[in-house]
Amino acid sequence: MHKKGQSTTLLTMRIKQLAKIFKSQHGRLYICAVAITRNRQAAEDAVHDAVIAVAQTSSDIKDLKAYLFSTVRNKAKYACVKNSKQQSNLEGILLCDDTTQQQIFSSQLFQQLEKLLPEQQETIIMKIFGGLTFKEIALATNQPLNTVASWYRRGLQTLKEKINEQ
Amino acid sequence: MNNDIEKTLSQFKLKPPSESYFKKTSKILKTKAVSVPLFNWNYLLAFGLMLSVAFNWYQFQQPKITIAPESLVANNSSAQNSQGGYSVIQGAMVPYGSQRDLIVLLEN
Repeated sequence: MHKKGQSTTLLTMRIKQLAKIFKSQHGRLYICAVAITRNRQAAEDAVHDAVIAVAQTSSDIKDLKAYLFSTVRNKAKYACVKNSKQQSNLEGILLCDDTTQQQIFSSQLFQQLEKLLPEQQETIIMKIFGGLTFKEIALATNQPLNTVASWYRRGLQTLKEKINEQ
Repeated sequence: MNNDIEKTLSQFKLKPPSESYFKKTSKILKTKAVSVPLFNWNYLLAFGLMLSVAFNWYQFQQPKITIAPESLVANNSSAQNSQGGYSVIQGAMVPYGSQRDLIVLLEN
C-alpha cells in the first residue's frame, strides 16, 4: 500500500518534470523525429506518443531528458516501418525558395543525401536544416560528440564525392 | 566543395510543425497530472483499521472481573448469564477466551 502511494507521488513529479522538458525542448524533439520520418505528421505523432509513453512508464528513469529523446527516436523509427508507404522525402519537409538552377542542383543533392547512411543523413538534417549544434545532436542521439561530428564530416565528404562523379 | 554543399544545403530550413503540435501534447500532460489522485482511499482504510484495532485493544485492557458467588466457587464450575459464558478460575469469573491473566483470589 505504501509502495502505491509512493509511486503516485513519483508519477506526479515525473509528469511535471516532463511538461517542463517538453516546453523547452519541443522544437528539438520535433527536429529529431522529422530527421528520421521525413514526414511532418508522422514526426508530430511520434513525439506525442513518446511523451505519453514516458509519462505512463513505471520504470525508474535517471535522466528524463535523454530518455525522452531516445523514446522519440524509437517511436519515429517504428513509424517509418509502420508507414513505409507514406510520403517521406526531404522536399516534403523543407522550406525552399530558390532559382530553377539551384533547384536542379539541390534536387541532385537531396537524391544523394538520401543514399547516405541513416546516421549521416540524420546528423546532416538535424545540423544543417534543423539548426541544432553537435552537442544537441549528441544528446538527442545519445552518442559521443566526436562520433556525431565524424558522421557529419563523412556524410558531407560522401556527398561531395557523389556530386563530383555526376 | 564541402563548403559549397554546406552552403547550398543551408539555404533550406525545416518546415515548422503544425500549430496544434505543442498544444496537443501539453494538454495531455496537464490532464495526466490532474488525473493522478492526490488522495489514496487505501490510506483511509488503513487508518480505519488502526482505529478499530486501537479501540479493541483498549476495550480488552479494561478489567472485567467479577467476584464469583460462593456456590460457584465451591463447585468450581461454569455459569451462564446474560453477558455470555464464564468460567470460574480460583474464585473469579472470567469471560471465555479472555487474554487477561488477572485472577482475584477469594479469601474465606
